[in-house]
Amino acid sequence: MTDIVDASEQILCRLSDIEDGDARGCLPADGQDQLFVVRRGAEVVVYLNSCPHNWRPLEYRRHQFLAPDHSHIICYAHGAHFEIDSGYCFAGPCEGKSLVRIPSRLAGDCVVVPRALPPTRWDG
Amino acid sequence: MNIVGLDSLVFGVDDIAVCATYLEDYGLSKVDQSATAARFEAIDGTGVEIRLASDAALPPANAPAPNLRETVYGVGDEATLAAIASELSKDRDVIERDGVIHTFDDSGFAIAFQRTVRRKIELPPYRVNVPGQADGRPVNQIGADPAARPRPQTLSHVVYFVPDHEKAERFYAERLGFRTTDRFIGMGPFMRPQGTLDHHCLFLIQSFNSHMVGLNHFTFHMAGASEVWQAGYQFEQKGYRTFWGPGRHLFGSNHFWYFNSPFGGAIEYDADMDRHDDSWQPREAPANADTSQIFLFQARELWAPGP
Repeated sequence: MTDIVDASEQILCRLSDIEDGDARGCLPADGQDQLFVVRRGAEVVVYLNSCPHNWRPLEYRRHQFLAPDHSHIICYAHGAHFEIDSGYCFAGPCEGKSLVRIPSRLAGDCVVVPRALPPTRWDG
Repeated sequence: MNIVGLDSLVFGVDDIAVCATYLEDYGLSKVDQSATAARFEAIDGTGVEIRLASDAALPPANAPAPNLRETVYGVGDEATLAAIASELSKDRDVIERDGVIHTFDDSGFAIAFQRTVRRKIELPPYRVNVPGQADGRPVNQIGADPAARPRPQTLSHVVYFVPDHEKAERFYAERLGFRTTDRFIGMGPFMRPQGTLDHHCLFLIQSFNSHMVGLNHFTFHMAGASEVWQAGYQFEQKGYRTFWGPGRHLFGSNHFWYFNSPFGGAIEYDADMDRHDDSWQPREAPANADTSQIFLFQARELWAPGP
C-alpha cells in the first residue's frame, strides 16, 4: 500500500472507513484529531480540525463534525456553520471566514495528504 | 429582587437521543425522555431541558439550531415573581403560564421566572488534608477513588453573546437588580442576582458580528477542583472533546474545564467560585490570556515512568 504514496505524503485513512456523507477525525496527537475528512461518494474533502473563531477543534465527540442531517459542518464550540465543499463559514461567530483546506487525493482506497501540514494553534 | 439563580436552561436541538446521551455522560440524572423532549437534573433539581428545535412550544430562536431557547431563573418568593411581572410588563409582553413568567430580555434572549425548584442539598464535606489544619478526611479514609463518578451539584451560570453588552447589562442591573461583580473591558460584565452570593450566574460577551449570537457556554458546579478534573477526565475518555481547560479563572476564581457540545455552545464543569456581597467593588481588566486564568493545563493519556 505504501508504495503508491510519495515520501512527501501520508495516508490518513481508508475511504471505506467513512460512511458516505459522514465525516471522520484523523491523525490524533495528544488526544486531538488534527484533521478531519468528509466523504461525498467517491470524493473526499479534508480540513484542519481548527475553527477560525478560536482555532480550537470542531467536534463535540470523536468523529462528530457534521449537522445531524449531514448537510454542513458545525463547530460544536460556539455553533459556527460551514459549507462542506468550500469550508466557508456561512453562519456563526466567524461568519465569512473559512476552514483551512488540506489538499488530498485518493490512492485506491487510501485518503492521502501531504506530510507537511499547517500547524494547529490555540489562537488565530 | 430575590432571584436565587438559574433553575433551568431550555435548548432546541437536532437530535434528542444524542443530546440525552451527552448529558448522561456529563453526569446529570435523567428525569424523563421521549422522542421529542427530555429533562436532566443536577443533585439539587436544577437542570437542562431539551426539545426538538422545531418544537412550536419553544420561544422563537435567536440563533441557528441547536441553541439555547430559554433561560429559567428561580425566585425565592411570590412577591419577587409579582414584582418581576409588574416591572417587565411596563415595556414588553409578559406571559404567565402555570405559575411561570415568560418574556424576553433586551438582547433577544427568552427568559422566564418561577418559584425555584432548587432543593436544599446537604452533601458530605469535600475533604482535603492540609498541613496545619485538623484532618480533612478521617484517618484511613481514601481520597483517590477511580470508581468515583462526580455528579454536577447545581446549575451554575450561563453565558450569552449579546449585540450590545452595555445595553444588556443595564437591563439586568436596572430591571432585575443584578449586581456586576467584575468586568472585562469592552467585552462584558459578570453578574449575580441578589438572591445568591455566587460571583456570577450570568456573563455577557459582546458579539462582533450579527452571526455571533446565542449561547456561549453553560456550566454546573462540582464539589471541588479534584471533581472537575476527575469528571472532565472521565468525559474525555468517553470521546468528548475539550474546548478549554482544565484551568482556573481569575474573575470568580472558579476551576474550569470546557467541552464542545451539541447545544450550540460549550459546556463546562466548574468548582470553588468566589462569593461576594454588596460591599464588593467590581474589578475591570482587558480580556486576554493573562486575565482569563491563573493556570491552564491539557489532559494527557494516563502514563507512568518506566522501570
